[in-house]
Amino acid sequence: MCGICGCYEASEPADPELIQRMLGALRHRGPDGSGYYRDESVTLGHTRLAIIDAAGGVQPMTGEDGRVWVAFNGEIFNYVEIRTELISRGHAFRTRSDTEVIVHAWEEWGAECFRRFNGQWALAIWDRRTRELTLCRDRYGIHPLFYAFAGRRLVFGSEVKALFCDDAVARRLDPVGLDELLTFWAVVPPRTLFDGVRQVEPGTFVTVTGSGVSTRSYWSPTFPQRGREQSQDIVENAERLRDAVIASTRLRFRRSDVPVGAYLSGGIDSAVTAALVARFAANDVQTYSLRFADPEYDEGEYQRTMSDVLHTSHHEVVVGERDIADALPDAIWHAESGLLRSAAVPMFLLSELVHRSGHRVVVTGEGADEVLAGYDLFREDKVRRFAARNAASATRAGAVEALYPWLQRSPALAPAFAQSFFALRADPLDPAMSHRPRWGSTAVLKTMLQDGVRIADGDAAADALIARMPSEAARWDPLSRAQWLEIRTLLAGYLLSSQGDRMLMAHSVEGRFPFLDPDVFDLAATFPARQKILGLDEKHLLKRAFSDLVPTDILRRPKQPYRAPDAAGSLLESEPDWLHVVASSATVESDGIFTPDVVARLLEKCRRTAGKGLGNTDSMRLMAVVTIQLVNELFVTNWRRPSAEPPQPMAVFGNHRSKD
Amino acid sequence: MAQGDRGFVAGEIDRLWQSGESTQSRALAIAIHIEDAFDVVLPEATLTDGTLHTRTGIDALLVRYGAR
Repeated sequence: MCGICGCYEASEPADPELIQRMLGALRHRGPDGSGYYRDESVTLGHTRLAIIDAAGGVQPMTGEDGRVWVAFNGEIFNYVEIRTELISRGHAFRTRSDTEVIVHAWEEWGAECFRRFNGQWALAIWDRRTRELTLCRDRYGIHPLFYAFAGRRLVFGSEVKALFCDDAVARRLDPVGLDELLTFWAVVPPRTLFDGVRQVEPGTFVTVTGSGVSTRSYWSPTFPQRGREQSQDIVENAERLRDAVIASTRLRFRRSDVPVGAYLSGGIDSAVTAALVARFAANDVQTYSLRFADPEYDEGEYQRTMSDVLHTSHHEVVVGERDIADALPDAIWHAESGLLRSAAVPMFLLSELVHRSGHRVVVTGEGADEVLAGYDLFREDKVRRFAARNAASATRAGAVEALYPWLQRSPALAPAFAQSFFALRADPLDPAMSHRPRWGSTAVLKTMLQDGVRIADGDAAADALIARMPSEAARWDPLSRAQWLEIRTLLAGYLLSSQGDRMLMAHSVEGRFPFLDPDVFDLAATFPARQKILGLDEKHLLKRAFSDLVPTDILRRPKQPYRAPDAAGSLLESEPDWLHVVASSATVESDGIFTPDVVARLLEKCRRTAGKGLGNTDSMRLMAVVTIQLVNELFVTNWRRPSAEPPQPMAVFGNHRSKD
Repeated sequence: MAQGDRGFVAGEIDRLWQSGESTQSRALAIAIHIEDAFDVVLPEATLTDGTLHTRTGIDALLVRYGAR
């Protein structure tokens, strides 16, 4: 895990001071050292968090002849196997790092090499032979990679703040990005929240030459035609899934020169990955958990059950509302995005705990809900389809109570909930039927935007996303289409970024995700949808596959989505100085994003209730206003370039070492 | 679903039958699963007359849809 940055301008070498500023801005991603390569057209920069081959992995790196240079953030977990193949094809290696494998793989196979990699990466390859710069990101978007133009110069980096170190890059929010954020809870790649700043889409690579920029896909999620799945045997499918997850976790455990710890959330996914890590580890395993002072959100009981079973050295951080409120500005600085929920902030505090404990690699269960169908949204879609088959049937309409038994205990709430649940567009032919309720309830937030930044067509974001769905998706199972939408929106745009990489790397911690392994993903995609959610039992195949490793208490507990307390109460109670700045009427007015009257009324309502008992929509509205205003304050109106020096030692390569 | 694969659904229904859920929840899960697996819409009467509460009733449905 590291940070990368650089620039390309066909006939103009970059200013070394620029690359050093960018390296300083990415210091937290790689505090162990830095380096850059510079020639007449390209500069590649790298800050290093040493995890594999600490002695030999200095970057940027080249091969024997200096014609291909690589700056790389991430891990190629199957680099040992690829290295062996490349050696058999005549390539000579100077190090045992995975970065050098990328250099030779590019020399041997060109862009085809990306399909061979099993890993998580954001990388830049400068091929002096063809004068092409290639920017590539892993299949799922685990690691970030942004680029923008500053006049004729293209600048790129692991974080937007590195791009903004170039004063010629425009800094302003993108109304379309805002519209996506306030629809999907995340901005969908290649767009970002910043106008003109693009991110390399997961599973694609961008080629930059003197004549322009082009994008090509090397992977995208796909599913079999409904009813034509290869294997219908649920027993065999669970066994194959088990083998794949074990192999994936083993790979992510073994390919590290530093100890690998594990997160324990209290749910099944992290219980499985932690149990497998404990099985592979020769020594004591360190596990890390997030606890909440508010018992409504706390999963400590289940976390401790699992750590007791595995006999791990367990570490906890207990987070209260006030902690979330206090850490919010730092979390937004790292996330570089607005948030509609506070859940990312505790992850920032958890990675801080890992860092303080002296560790830098953790395995987590991220991705299992998308790959193996764990979200309530997927089950809701099944129930809504069941109900839609006969709208007159009270039995079918009552199925919602099987999802949410509390409705039976709250008869006063049940009719209203059922009405809101079923009244939404439930057209089985709608490719986004699964996501309409979420998108619809989120889109209410757009009414707070000023006319100048609000996209007039309220369905524009959804329509654009659906237009990108592959044509064969019409023949997929509805669950597969819902998985595709979830992977394309929330996984890459939020879970792996605002709540993932950015919160982990804020404290120089690398996350590894065994469920986001191409073998696991591709295998899981072939399973019949009905086996992933058996009846209404989510992630059924995973539970079946690992019933011997996970205690029954955890296996059978109802799905508990990761949630954090809303920080509204504490925010308004403590009224930190920054809140007065970003949410004052004068700032809201001058920023021109939200309607000042609407924000004033929202804040007044929140103050009146001290943030307690705020409804779901008002909580999201408050988070949206506060965090988007923070983003605007930190990156647009009051932007201050990070003043950190590049991490030392710093290595300099290339033929333009000083300013020409 | 291919005719030869329909037998696998019977095993899945067995799993749901043994799930330990309440009678109502189990019947609902089985109804949803049968409709998903066989692309059928169960008649309203089947959902309400207790067919899904008995092993005999469910087996009869599995025979009807070619899974037994």
